[in-house]
Amino acid sequence: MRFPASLVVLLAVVAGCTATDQVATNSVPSSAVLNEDTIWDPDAVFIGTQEMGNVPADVFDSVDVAGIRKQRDQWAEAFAAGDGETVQFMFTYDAHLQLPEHSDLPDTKAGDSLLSASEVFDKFTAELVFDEESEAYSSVGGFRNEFDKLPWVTFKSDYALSLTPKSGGDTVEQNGRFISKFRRQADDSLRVVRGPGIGDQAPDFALNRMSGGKELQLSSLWNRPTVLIFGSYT
Amino acid sequence: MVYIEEAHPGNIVGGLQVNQTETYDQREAVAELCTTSLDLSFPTVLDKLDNAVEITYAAFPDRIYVLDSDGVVRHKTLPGPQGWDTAGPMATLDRLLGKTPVSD
Repeated sequence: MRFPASLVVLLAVVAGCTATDQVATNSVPSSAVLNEDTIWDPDAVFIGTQEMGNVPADVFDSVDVAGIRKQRDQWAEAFAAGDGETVQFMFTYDAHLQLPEHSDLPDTKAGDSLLSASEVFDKFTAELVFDEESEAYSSVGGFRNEFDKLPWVTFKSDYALSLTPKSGGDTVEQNGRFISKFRRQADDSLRVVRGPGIGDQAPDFALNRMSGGKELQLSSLWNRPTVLIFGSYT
Repeated sequence: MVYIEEAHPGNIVGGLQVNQTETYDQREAVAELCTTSLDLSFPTVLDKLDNAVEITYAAFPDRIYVLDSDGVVRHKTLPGPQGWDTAGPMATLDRLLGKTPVSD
C-alpha cells in the first residue's frame, strides 16, 4: 500500500546516528566493523565509541530508562489526542525519515514533517504503540572520559501506528521506528530538546566573553543581525 | 561563537588530548586554545558549566542560528556534525543585511 507523501513523512523518524557514526557496544569488540545494522541490534544496549575500548558496566546506570519511556508515552498520547503541537515537539530537526519499505522515496528531514502534522490530525485519529522489546540506547562521543554521566542518549524503539480516517474508511497501519536524542538537563533528567524554531524569539542569555572579558547580553545585539555559532574544539 | 562543552573529549587535536572540562577555568583555557589555533576572529562567549544555553538552544555538538535585528530566529541549521552547514546561514545573513533581495 502506498501512502500520501505527507503521511509517510510523519510516520517515522530516525535521529542522530547514521551509518557514518562509529559506535561500539558492550557486546561488540571495538575492532568490529560497525554499520547501522550493528548499531541498532535491539538485543544490546549501546554505549561507547569505536576508540573507547572497555566501558564500565555502571555507565548504563546513568540512562534514565523510566524517564525516557515517560516522554515516549507522552508522544503516543499526543498522537491519540491529535495534539499536533506536542507531536511536533518530539520530532527533532536532526531526524531523518526511515521507511525501509519505501526506499524509493527521497531521504526526508523530519523538520519537513512539522508542516504536515496538523494536516494529518485534521483527517485521521491515531493510535501509536511502542514495542519495548525493540528498545535500544546509544550515545556517540561526549563522554569518553566521564563515564559517570552521559550528556546525551539516542533512544530507539519500533512502533506500530494506526491511522483511521475521520471521514470513514479503512484504518492505515504502519510500522515505524522512533529515534530521538535526549539531552541531559541541569536536574540530571534526560529530555528531548529542540531549541527555538524559525520565527521564534531567541531566548536571551548573558555569558562572559573569553579571557576575562565583560559579560555579553545577547539582547544587547538586537539592533542588527546576529549569528550564533555553537561549538567546541572537539 | 558560543563555546560549549566538548563533543568528543579525549580526542587528540593539534597534538594535544582535549578532555572534558570540569571547571569554568578549564573550559576557558580550551576555548582560548581553540580560537587561537583556528585563528577565529569573531567574539566568543563561554557557556557555563550547567550548559544551560546550549541545552536551551539544543546546540550540542554544534549548530548555527541566524537572528534578525529583533532577535527573531531566521535560520537554524541541523545539529552537527551531519547538519553542519554554512551556506544556508550565509545566505540568510546576506538577505538580512540587504545584500540579496528579500523573498519571504
